[in-house]
Amino acid sequence: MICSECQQRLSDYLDGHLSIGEGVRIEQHLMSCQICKVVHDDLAQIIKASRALPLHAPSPVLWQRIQAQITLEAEAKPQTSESWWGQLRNRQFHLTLSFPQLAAVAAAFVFVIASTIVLTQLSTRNLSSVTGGDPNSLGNIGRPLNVPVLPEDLERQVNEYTNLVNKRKESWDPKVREIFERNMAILDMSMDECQQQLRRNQTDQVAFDMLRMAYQKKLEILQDFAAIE
Amino acid sequence: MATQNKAKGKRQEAKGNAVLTFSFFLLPLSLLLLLFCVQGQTASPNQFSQSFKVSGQPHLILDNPFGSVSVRPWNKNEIQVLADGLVELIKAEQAGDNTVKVETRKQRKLEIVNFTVNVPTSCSLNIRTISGRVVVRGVSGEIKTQTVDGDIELIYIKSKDVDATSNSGRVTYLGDLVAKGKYNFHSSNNAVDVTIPATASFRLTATSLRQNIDLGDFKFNGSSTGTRFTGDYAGGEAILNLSTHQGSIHLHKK
Repeated sequence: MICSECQQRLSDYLDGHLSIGEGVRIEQHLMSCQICKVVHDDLAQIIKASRALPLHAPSPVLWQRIQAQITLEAEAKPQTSESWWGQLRNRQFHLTLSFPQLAAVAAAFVFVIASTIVLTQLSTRNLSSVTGGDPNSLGNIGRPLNVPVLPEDLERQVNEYTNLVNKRKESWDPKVREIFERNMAILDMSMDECQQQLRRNQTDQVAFDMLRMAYQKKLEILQDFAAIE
Repeated sequence: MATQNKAKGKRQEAKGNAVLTFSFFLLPLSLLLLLFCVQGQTASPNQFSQSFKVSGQPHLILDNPFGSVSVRPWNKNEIQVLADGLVELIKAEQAGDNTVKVETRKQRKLEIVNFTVNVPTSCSLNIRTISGRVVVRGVSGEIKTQTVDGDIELIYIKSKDVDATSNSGRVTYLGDLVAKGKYNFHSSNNAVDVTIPATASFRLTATSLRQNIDLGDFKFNGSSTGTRFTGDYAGGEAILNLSTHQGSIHLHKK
């Protein structure tokens, strides 16, 4: 798991809205990442402090004043049968931005849109070349020649054993299941990190070696657990 | 009076015959019991003990899903397997002259079986656990050990070929690096801690995705990419590979 993903889910984690697997992944990340640990502690502190604040209700007099104001404005509003386009045309907009400011806002808007498109395209292209076209697959089709490749049947075997074990694990002792899920979460986190690095640099041999090792390890663990009677 | 003595004599004779008959049955029974004890099958319902005579280059294959494994050297040509826990799950057999295979059945229910195995110093080992610590001491044969959720400790090792992998446990090695030997240590999520003699000669490849590599006092002739360090020390005769995803790597001089 990467830091941005962890920080995005911290609030849900603290509120107890995440699944056990996701919670474990967050905890694993927090154990090894000091930055996210600090963010987590700060957020936990804020939540704790805000829960301790007293609730302030507005006085009944204030609500009476607001209600009177609404009634007054409703009575003063002229009844019109004009179309929504006419209403829009007649509406007076009070813009306080100068022309250069407006131009800057427009330029920033265009820049954000263009950047999003370019990054999305690049990301898809990199992922495709690392995983062989389909972002969820680790096949080798469509891969540039200088990019290392994973053994073709490795992902297939991992998927087959994952399906097998997922069907069986409900009948296991909860402690056995906990061991399995915790260790799968560790390997998934490793694979995520390797893939992140390969997205940044698809010829990163170290990330590739570690990704292959994580896949191999995952397969071995799945085979171990699949043998449980 | 004579009649009384005669009757008394007959009673004593009958009593002697009974004792003789009883002893006659008791003798084979005690022999059986003795044989059973010598074989050392089970000391109590929760304990297991079995010994195997080996010669030449012995080999132990031990697969224990849930529970610890401790291997110790001794100076007998024998592999002695001791265990406690639900021993009904254990299957131990000798395959050929020198190989002993020990297996604990993998069950849905978490049943812990802890092993202590005494082996000849030259014994090679192949040990697997899912959740359980593995400790090996003072062995000089090949070692291959793998755990999913347990620590691995290899202490005072003189082997030429060592491979230790844990997914979430710590891997610790304290021992020699033999020339031309190959040593691989990996932990996905925990530390890899290696202590070797200052006089060792080896080629190191240390890989840590989190760039957490501590080479201690060793001064290498090598290069680093941040996540991977490669370098030779004192000629690079042995191969030492250390790797971790989220953990750290520590190298120390003995």
